[in-house]
Order: sequence, then C-alpha cells, then structure tokens
Amino acid sequence: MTKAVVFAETPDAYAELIGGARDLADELTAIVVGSEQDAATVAAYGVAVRLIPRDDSLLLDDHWPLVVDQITELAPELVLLAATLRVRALAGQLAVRTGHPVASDVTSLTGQGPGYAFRTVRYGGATQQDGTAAALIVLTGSGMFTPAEPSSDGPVSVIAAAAQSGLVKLLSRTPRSEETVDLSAAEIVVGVGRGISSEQHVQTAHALARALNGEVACTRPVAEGLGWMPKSRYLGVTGAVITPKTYLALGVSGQVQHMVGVNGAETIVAINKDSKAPIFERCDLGLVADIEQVLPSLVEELG
Amino acid sequence: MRVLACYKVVRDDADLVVADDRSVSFGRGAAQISDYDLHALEAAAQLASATDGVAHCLTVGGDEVKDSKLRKSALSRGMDAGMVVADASLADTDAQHTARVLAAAIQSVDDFDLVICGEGSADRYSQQVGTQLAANLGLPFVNGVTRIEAGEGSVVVDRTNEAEVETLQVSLPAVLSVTAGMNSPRIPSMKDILGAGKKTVTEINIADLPVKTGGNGLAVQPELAPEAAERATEIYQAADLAAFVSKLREVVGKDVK
Repeated sequence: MTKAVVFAETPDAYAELIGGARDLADELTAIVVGSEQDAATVAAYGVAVRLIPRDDSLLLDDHWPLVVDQITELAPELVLLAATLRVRALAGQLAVRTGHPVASDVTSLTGQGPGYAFRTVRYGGATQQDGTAAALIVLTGSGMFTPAEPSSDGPVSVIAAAAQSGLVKLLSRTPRSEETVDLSAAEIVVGVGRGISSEQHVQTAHALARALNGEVACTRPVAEGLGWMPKSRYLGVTGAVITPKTYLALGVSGQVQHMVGVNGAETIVAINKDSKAPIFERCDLGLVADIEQVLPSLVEELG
Repeated sequence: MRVLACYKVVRDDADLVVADDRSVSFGRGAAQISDYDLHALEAAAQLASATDGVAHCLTVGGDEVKDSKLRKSALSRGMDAGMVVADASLADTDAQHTARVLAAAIQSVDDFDLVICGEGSADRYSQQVGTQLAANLGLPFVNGVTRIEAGEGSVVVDRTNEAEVETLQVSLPAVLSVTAGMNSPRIPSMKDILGAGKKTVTEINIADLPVKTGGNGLAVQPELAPEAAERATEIYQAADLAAFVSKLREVVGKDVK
C-alpha cells in the first residue's frame, strides 16, 4: 500500500495534483489549510481531506508546522506540492523533518515500484537529469497532470490543533504593481536579440508584434545588459519558457541558453544577417538578412 | 549586525558543450559564483555597512571552491572574511546535503545574526538550500525577499510572492533567501580585488563538522541535453525576401496579399 499526500495554497490547484497523485499511489490524502468550504471543494474530487482551519490573524506560513506534522504522521511515499513561493519553503521544512529528498519543478514523474522516477532540468533547461527515490517530495507547476474530475465527496476530518504565531510577523501587504506579462498565453511571440542594435528598432519589433497580434520578448542580454526590455520578457535559462504557435526570432543568434526557452514553439522563424548563426540549424524558416533593413518592410507587409 | 552570505560555485553555462550523444561538458569553462548568489553577497555587504557590522561569506563544494580567484571574487564584494568547506565528496552534492553541511559549519562558528542565501543556484535552481538550512538551524526563514531593512533584534523585509508584497518583521537570528531583483551586485574594483587577497579565509574540514549523515535514497543519472526537435531549416537569402515573406504569411496565418 503506497500513500500520497497533496497540498496547495489554493483550492483550485488541487484538481491537477489529485489527478496526478491518483495514478502514483494506492491511498491519497489532501491536506487543506483554509475554510470548511475550501475543504469541501477539494473533497468533491473524491479524496479524503484533513482540514487545518486557517487562522486569518496569522501568516499562512504559521500553519506550516501543522502541515508538516500531518504529513509526517501519514508517512506517505509521495508528497505532491503545488509550487508557489511559500510552499517551496514548506517543502524544505518537510524535507528536513522526514529526511526525504525534494524534486523541484519536475518535468516528468512516474511510479517505479517501489519508488518514483522523475526528471528535473538544470541550467534552466539547457540540460536535464533523471533520478529515482523510494520516497519523494515533489514541487510541481501547473500543466503537469490531467486535472481530476469531481466525483463523490470524500470524508473531511478537521484537525483540532491551532496554529501558533511564529518569529515572522506581518506588518502590511500591498498588491504587486510592476509589469508582469504572461508570455505563455501569446500565440505569436517576436523575440529580439543582440542583432538589433538600437532601441529605436526595438520599437519597430513592438510594432511588428502588434501587427501580428503577438507579444514581444527578448534574449537575456537585451533585458539585463542593455535594459531595453523588462526582465519579465526575457526567454531562456532563468527566464520565461514559452510554447507559442510561432516564435519569430529577430537578430537572435540561437545560443542554447536562449533556445531552451523557445524550443517548445510549433514553428520557429529566424532572421539574422549572420548565415552561420546557430539559429539557422534550429529554425523552420529562416532569412539571412540585416534585420534593421528588412524590419520596416515586414511591418508594412504583415500589418 | 553580523551577516553571513552563502554562495555556490557553479560552472558557467555559457561554456556548455553538447556532444552528439547528448552528454554535456563545460569545455575549459571556468567555475564561477552562481549569479543568484551575487545578490546575497551584495545584500550582506550593504546590510553590514548600514549597521556598522561585519559581512562574512561561506561556500560548500568540491575542491574547486578553494580556488584563490573565486575566493577573492567573493571577498572583493564587500566581505570582511570568508569560510570554505571543500571536499571532493561535496562536488555536485544535492540541496539536502548542502543545507546540512552549511548548517553544521554555521553552528560551528555560532557568530551570526542573519544568514542570506540566493534564491536558487544557477545549475539546479531547486530553491531548497535556504529553507532547509533554516530548518536545520531551527531559525525563522523568509524567501522571495526583495528588500531588507535592519532593526533592533530583527529585520523588516519585503517578500514578493505571486500576488502581493508582504512586509514582514523577522526576529533574529534568521535565514533569508533574496531575489535577483533586490539589488545590483557591485563590480569589484582593482583595489577591492587586491584588498581581498589580504582577507582571512578559514578552511573548515568536513570531518570536523557534525553533519547529519544518512542518505535520502536519491539516485541520479548523468545530466543530458534535451532531445532537440527536428526543424525544417528552410533558409532564404536576402534577395529572396518576397518568397520569405509569403512563406511567413502562411506561418502566421495572414492571407497572401
């Protein structure tokens, strides 16, 4: 009998965790920190729920010791956690308590009786590594598993222990204000590389993206070295990873550190004046040309 | 305030070479301080300077972490002294063991109010060492830190999570993981680098540390490059711009004019 436990910060993140964990263990328990309504939402997927009532006067993190206690008591072989900032910290507490390893941001996870096989990426996806462990704590983003469908309600048990205030106290909270773009939603992404030599031409790339109803993105040096675009728009190692229908790379040389962010594109189109640029081996359609000369006519033709 | 910054030595991913069998090597690429940890060093240096305190640095790894250039690189970033735990058994070790060794090294010195880590390492980026280090030390921990302000017996930090910025008061001693967005790491001057050579680096022998042992059952394969998707590589020259454009229209779903 193998056991799995799932946990997420918000009720809406459970469907995927439950969908994934069901295939990987015989017995499944969801731990929920929240309200009775939250517990009912999760139990509706036909899973047993242990509810730790949320004390709104405390930080969410103040509930972590109770979550760790519950998971330790259940002694599961697999813990599936929806990876948010605070849950990453929880994973560390759990790892130290149980001695089980943490696999962060796995790209695959399968049962390998007894135990689990998983794949993680290194250098932001430039390399990957396969591993196995008899018991494992897994941090996963969304999109990994097929969400479970609601079925008959599972049982809910309420944990009586109360969370205690810790050594970290909340002073105030404010909504985030800086630009956050969701490049992953765009069907067409126009990427700007160092082959574009002036900020003025970056504006033309923006115009092209608008004409194609797409988003604009860039390589790391364009965001970090030149500062022509916010960091939220750079693709690749440590940056965003996208899977659009079309990625249009303008003046991008095609180094692996960038390409790992765009290799999931259905079609890659590249324009670069250097015919030996590595991107011409990794694209579907290419044009060897000076990007600054052809860009205005592209905007006109495709606008 | 007595501040300790932890850093990891990694290979420079710019030197990554992929062989035909997808195995990877780093050519003659030099080892370097993981990018994210430069922000931890900078945060420690700024905090020490703002509080008339001291900033030390600590790294754990294989024999490469003893390299004098790397030591100087860390020390030249506003550090007063450094500590190194180097042992062949620690090369490419996982987050769990790294956190245990760091914790044991910090306990052996027992001299810091605040420990600062980067958000994750440039190679694994598992974002686990800070939280596990804190749990091993039994200290409060905050990750996603985007601002630190010194207080009396505490620090006030901003934690930027997915939806909001929480301003938190953290009792000391504590462990923080700082984000890459929180500061701009200094570029050491020649004077900084020369001065770094005169600073003390303590080598701690792993055998002298009471590190919790016992494997975590983890077994890993050698790292590989991902399988590359086959691409059509239909390349046009500048003179064939019109043909390229009509092909591009098909790709992006624009009707041919």
